[in-house]
Amino acid sequence: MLEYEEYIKIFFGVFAIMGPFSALPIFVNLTAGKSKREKQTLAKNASIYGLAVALSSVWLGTSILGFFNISIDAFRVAGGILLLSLAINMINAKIPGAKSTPEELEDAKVSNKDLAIIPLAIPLIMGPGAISTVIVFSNVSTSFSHLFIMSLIVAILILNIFLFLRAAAYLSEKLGLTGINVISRIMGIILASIAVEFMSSGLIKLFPGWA
Amino acid sequence: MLDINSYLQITIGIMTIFSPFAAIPIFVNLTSSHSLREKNETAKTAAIAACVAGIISVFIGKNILVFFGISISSFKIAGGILLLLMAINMLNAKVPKAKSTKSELKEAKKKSVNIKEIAVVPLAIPLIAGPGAISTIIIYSEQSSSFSHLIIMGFIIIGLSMYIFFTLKMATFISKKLGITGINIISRVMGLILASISIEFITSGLLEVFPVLSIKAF
Repeated sequence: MLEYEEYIKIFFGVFAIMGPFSALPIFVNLTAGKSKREKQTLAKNASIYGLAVALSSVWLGTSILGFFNISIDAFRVAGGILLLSLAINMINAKIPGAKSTPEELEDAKVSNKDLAIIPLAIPLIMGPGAISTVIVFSNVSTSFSHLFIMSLIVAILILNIFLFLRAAAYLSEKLGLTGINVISRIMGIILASIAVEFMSSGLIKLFPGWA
Repeated sequence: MLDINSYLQITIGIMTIFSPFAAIPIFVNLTSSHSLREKNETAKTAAIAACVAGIISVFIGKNILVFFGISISSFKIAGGILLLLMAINMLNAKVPKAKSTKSELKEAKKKSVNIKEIAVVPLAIPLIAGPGAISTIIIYSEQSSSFSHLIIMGFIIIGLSMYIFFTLKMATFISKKLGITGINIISRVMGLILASISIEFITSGLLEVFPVLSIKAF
């Protein structure tokens, strides 16, 4: 288990990537023609599936890396590069391709499949960036209590996303596109710093001469 | 020869880059006007061609490097950078240019009346066995100089080619079941794994080129 302050840092780190704001405009766009009840069911189901993905990243992330024989240090550097490119997109107020591409949105709009798992839960709520951030932070300590606290953190953040998605229509009207973009720009700066921390902590391990 | 764990890692490493998932949407697009039998024929030819390209890289990849006077360390760094770029494209759910460009696809679509013409180029090379896959295979083949290592590498390639064949055979079914978004999610996850592998290549190359990086200062 880590220090109390460390968990606050982890909480805000995961919040920067699992923040609800980038999902809001897409959620509003995708559910435009749906009734209020359908929207709320979608928000609920997407959050439940997102939670399942997040919890499996916490508990199984290290074993998955082990299965693929990937060292955590290389994964930190790779995840850091991914997060940095996400962060740069967020600072420029663009939707990163790692979260959603225009073709995918088009596809989601015309198909009448359930949108809760794909694309809402994955990759919008839990994309590759969020998954790798959660895996890297879960890997910091192997103790059971650490994983338990990590689960608590992701559960709180998913609950937060759920509440935001429920009020999506209202919020996006209140904040406007610019308001949401301002928030994601600020989140982008935080995320960029976290990305650099990931990369440097991985590189120091990989190149002992740099320490 | 290496231990079993290393071979598992090699198999998974080649699988992420040899992955037919990037090829599925393009395969479906190119063969949309073909009969089921023609599609199977194309899948078979593409898998065999990819297998041949892979096995050639295993056995003479080293000689090619020696011929050009390229050290394996710098090839690891260069290959790692190439893989990293491809991985970033995969993470963003784009088809990497190292695999296929738009004008190449247009040309292939014109040719696709004749199935023989699309199976090898562009499906097998460069879509399945592109520069990324070939350099990955060469780097892994270099890890040991024993003959048995090369034989095992050959078997890994053959096994993966069968996997490519079955995936391409079911391409229409898979792309209908998963949809664009489903296939893109798979390639995003593969991209994450590939990015980590590329970092391992780059660092192991850099450690060989700059030995000072591995010496602890205190």
